[in-house]
Amino acid sequence: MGQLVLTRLGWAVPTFVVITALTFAMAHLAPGDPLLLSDEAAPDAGLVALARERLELDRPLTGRYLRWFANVLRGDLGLSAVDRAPVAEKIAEALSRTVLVSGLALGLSCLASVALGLLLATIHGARWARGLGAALALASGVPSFWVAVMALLLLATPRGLPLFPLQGLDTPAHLVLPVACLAWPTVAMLTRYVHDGVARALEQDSVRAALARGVPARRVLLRHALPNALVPLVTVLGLHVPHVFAGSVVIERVFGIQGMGLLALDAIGTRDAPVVMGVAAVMAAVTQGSMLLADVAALAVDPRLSAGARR
Amino acid sequence: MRRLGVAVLAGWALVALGADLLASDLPLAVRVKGATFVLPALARPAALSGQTQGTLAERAEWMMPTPVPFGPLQTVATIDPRRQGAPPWAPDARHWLGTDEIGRDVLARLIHGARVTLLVALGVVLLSTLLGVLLGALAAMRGGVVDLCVSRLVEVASTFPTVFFLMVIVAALRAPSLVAVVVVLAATRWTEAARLTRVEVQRLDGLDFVVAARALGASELRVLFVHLLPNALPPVIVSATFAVGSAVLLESALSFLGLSVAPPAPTWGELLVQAHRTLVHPGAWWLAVFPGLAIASVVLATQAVGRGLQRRFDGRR
Amino acid sequence: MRARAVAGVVLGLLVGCRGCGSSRAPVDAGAGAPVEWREGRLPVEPFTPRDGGTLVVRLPVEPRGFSRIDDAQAEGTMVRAITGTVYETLGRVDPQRPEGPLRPWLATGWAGLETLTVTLDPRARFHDGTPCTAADLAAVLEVILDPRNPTVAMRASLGPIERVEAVSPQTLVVRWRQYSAYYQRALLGSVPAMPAAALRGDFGRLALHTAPVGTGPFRVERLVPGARLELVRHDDPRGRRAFIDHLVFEFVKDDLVATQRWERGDFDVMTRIPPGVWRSVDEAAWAYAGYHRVRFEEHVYAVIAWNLERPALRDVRVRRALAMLYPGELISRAVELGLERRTSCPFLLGSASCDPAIAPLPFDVEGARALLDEAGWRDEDGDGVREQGGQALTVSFLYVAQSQRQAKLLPLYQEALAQGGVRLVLEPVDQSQVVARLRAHDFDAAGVSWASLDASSDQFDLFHSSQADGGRNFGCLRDETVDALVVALRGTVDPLDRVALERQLHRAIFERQPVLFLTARPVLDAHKRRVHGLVPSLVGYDFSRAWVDP
Repeated sequence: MGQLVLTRLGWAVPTFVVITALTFAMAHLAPGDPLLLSDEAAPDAGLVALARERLELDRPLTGRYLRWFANVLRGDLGLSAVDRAPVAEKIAEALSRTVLVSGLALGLSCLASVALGLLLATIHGARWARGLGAALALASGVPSFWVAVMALLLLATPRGLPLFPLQGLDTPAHLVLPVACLAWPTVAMLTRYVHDGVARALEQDSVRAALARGVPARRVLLRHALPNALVPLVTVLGLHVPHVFAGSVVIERVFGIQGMGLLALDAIGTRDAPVVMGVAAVMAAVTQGSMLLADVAALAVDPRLSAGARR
Repeated sequence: MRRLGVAVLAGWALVALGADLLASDLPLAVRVKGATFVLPALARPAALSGQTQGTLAERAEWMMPTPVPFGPLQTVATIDPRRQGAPPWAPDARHWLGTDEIGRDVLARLIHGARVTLLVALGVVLLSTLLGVLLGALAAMRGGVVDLCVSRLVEVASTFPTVFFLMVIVAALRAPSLVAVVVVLAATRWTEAARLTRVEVQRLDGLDFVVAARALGASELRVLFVHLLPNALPPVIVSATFAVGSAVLLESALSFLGLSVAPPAPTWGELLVQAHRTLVHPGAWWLAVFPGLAIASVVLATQAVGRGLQRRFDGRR
Repeated sequence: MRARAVAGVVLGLLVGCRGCGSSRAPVDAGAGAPVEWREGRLPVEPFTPRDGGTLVVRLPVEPRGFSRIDDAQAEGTMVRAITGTVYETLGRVDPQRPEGPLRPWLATGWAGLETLTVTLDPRARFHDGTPCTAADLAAVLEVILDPRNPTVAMRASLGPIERVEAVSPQTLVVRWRQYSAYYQRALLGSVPAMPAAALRGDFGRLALHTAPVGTGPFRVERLVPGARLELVRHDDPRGRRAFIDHLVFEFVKDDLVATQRWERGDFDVMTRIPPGVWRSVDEAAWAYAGYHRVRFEEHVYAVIAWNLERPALRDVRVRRALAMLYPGELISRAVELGLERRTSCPFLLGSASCDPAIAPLPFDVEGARALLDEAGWRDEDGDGVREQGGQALTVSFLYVAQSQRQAKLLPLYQEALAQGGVRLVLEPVDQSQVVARLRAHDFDAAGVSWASLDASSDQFDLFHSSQADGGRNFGCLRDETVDALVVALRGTVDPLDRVALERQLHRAIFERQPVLFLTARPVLDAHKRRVHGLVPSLVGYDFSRAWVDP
């Protein structure tokens, strides 16, 4: 286990460097200067020269990246090129919204998928099990942002029943639609894992033996089959964590949530390199962290997996 | 299920191929001022420049219109110049699926949008699968450091939120074009193919027939292309089928964000943008419903086909 | 095909029920709505103010800060909202006569040309209670003029100031190297009074940016980032200066949300109603029953800038032809929904500065074809696009990808241009890229909009040949007549002489067509019927004059 963590950490640093360096290069080589003014007025030469100097736009890329990296190590993500607000603050603010929405969605979809997966496994063969399976397949194929637009149309505008607010994230009612739309495809995906896992476990000899011994089916399901099904689920979840932090830019766009996705999109559109880099750094760190977490969690759920066996 | 999926996909492919015959500003055939034009939509003869099916209907001796008598780029200026009120217009007998904000026929745009969407999806899947198979095979055959690096790359690339990368890359382009979108999407979608190829090639590499081939003096390339890859491909093909669906989803999401092919090219995501914009007033539901159904039908069909293939390959094994 | 038709019908049936729902929702009601309502004119009301109450205003922007002089915080809507409420300037535009002289505000008067002497109101106090003196204004100017500060936009508008001096607490003297009516107007009308003490230190990190302190009739009570700015009435020795007690600006960027919240009644003043929404509530009972609609024009107008460095666009006949292929009427109907007025003039539409004899070139395909033929552009290979010397007449159009307006307008223009044998290629890019490429003259045509907070605006940086590099003469117009006129306008004092020069400039620009003028941007707002006294003007609303029914 310790070795596993060490290997992971050993890889984390170069990976972080590669991701951020790539982003840095692209963010700085993209045509266009950081947007310094709103559309009400175009900046003049003097302003541009000043800003270029402030942002060190005319210095070599490598040096700037190294300086950025050194600052990140000190915990300083710098100031936004556009409004000079601390990048860390902007990210923290956006992250809080995104994590709230995607975290809730993920939690919800975990619960729902475990329940649905178990249900599907127990009613295996029943006619409506097929119906449920088909519904889930349907759910995974329908684009979630379309569902989101339709949900808004039906549940938030006078065309349908305006039960929910249209945009933003001010009240708990605002959470319902985005969380549901985000959870929608995840439920479909995770249920498949749980169902497959449980079904496979139910075919194992130990489980069959338990059933033959007269252990109640529910007990077998919960004590024997479910833990088996949870191993792949935990791995999948671990890989899904970065997306919780990244948020879904399309869903955020549809529901007007100023989260990480929109922050990144806006920052890219305004060539706000420090913010883009901040987002990249957070993503890279989260990605590495969650991979580590997934490994550790998989070990915790199923101690038979050793670091060696996974290699 | 699978057959239905194949049928839907084939249907869309036909629609995409024959888009100009299904919906065009020019008719299938027309005789005007003593000259006959067949399929002018494809040839674009100079004599008909500036004409539409609407104007030709009055001047032509006879005319065979396209099923949807509008081109995807025809706006309110030529489509319905005398119609009162500003677009978007709701579905009616003339525009079966309604029009968008500047009077372009939604059905015509859906038909021509299929071309863009499917082209992007196919291009992405072919390119990314090719890339993935090559990298995966390379990793499996070479092993050691190469394998380690490729595996790590796959791991990171499949975990890292690629939409972020997509946004950065598209911004770095001067202006998004079809080819650029395909390349960019492919660059972030190759990991699954690489992972599967690597696993399969590694599994097969120890098997008797490969060892025998090697013993007979087959070169590494021959072993790879003749013995290993053909046998390793089935799971890759299954995953590629699923990938068509996700590429369609991704492309429509990108065009929803305005990061895909430049306007006025018709795309499915672009119609959804307008739907979102006109959600409350005037509530143009037809802009949301139909492109969404189109996207969903393609994605679901590819999934059905993918699952069918999966079952077949699994059964064979 | 039959199968597809059937599918279409089925889908139609599936969604049909909601179609029915839509017919029930808005409509019927305002058949009796008077013309004022349809046109968006406020009714004339007696001046019977009432003290107290709260006014909630939607703002379509989220401010980056409120210091106003900072380039990054000089967003027009925000400036209009903050100046006059929190900040005061020395003088202000007369709402009745925007192109006329400024009226005294924080100052009691001023005199002089190169050397301007301003006298301040001795009773003026900042919100923190300290008196507002000439030294404070001198400090503000010093910060603006400091080349190290990102205050370039305002610095440029003030021109070459030689000396600023607070002669006495109430007397400020500003000396220019050269007189210009625009510089003086900018100094008097746009420099906000801020306390000198709050301006000390690193400009980028001043508390002032998020916690503005001014002398205006409202003081900042609370800023909730991302949500709202709450202001409270502030009286000073000059007496009670506003009727309402609380003024709340809600930052609602998204038009969808704003529309829905407006419909729910969240805003007393709904600003920037999207044209489509404006039109769709023309007949809506709830809107007519609850709101006055307000439509007026700011000094903001859209143009298409042609790059005169491009060989094809260098010929004025080509530019005229392109202008004649602009389907103004169709776009007005389909895109602008009849809400925007065409302009042909860089000055405030409808003001005396524009020559009334000049009308925009009408849509005329035949005329355009003839002009292009004459200019030597002919379609010889029969592909529908004209060419000259093997070069096809293709114009690429640079615009901001997020612009909904251009997304609707350009396909229409594209179709009309195709009729004239011109191919228009759309090039949507990020806004930052648009700005960079405009500056580098790396475009053929571009959608640009120009805004001024004042009726009278300096055309020097838009059209003077020296401004092709570094200024906003993006299309590189180099013309001696135009140069002479914009320079003459800067130094002319007499109002009648100015109008004559302005009209000459209007005609000169029209004849040369360096840009194609489109429309002036209308402001589409709505006020709850409980709101009174809120008259729109170029500089925004004067909230101190507003009162509300309980």
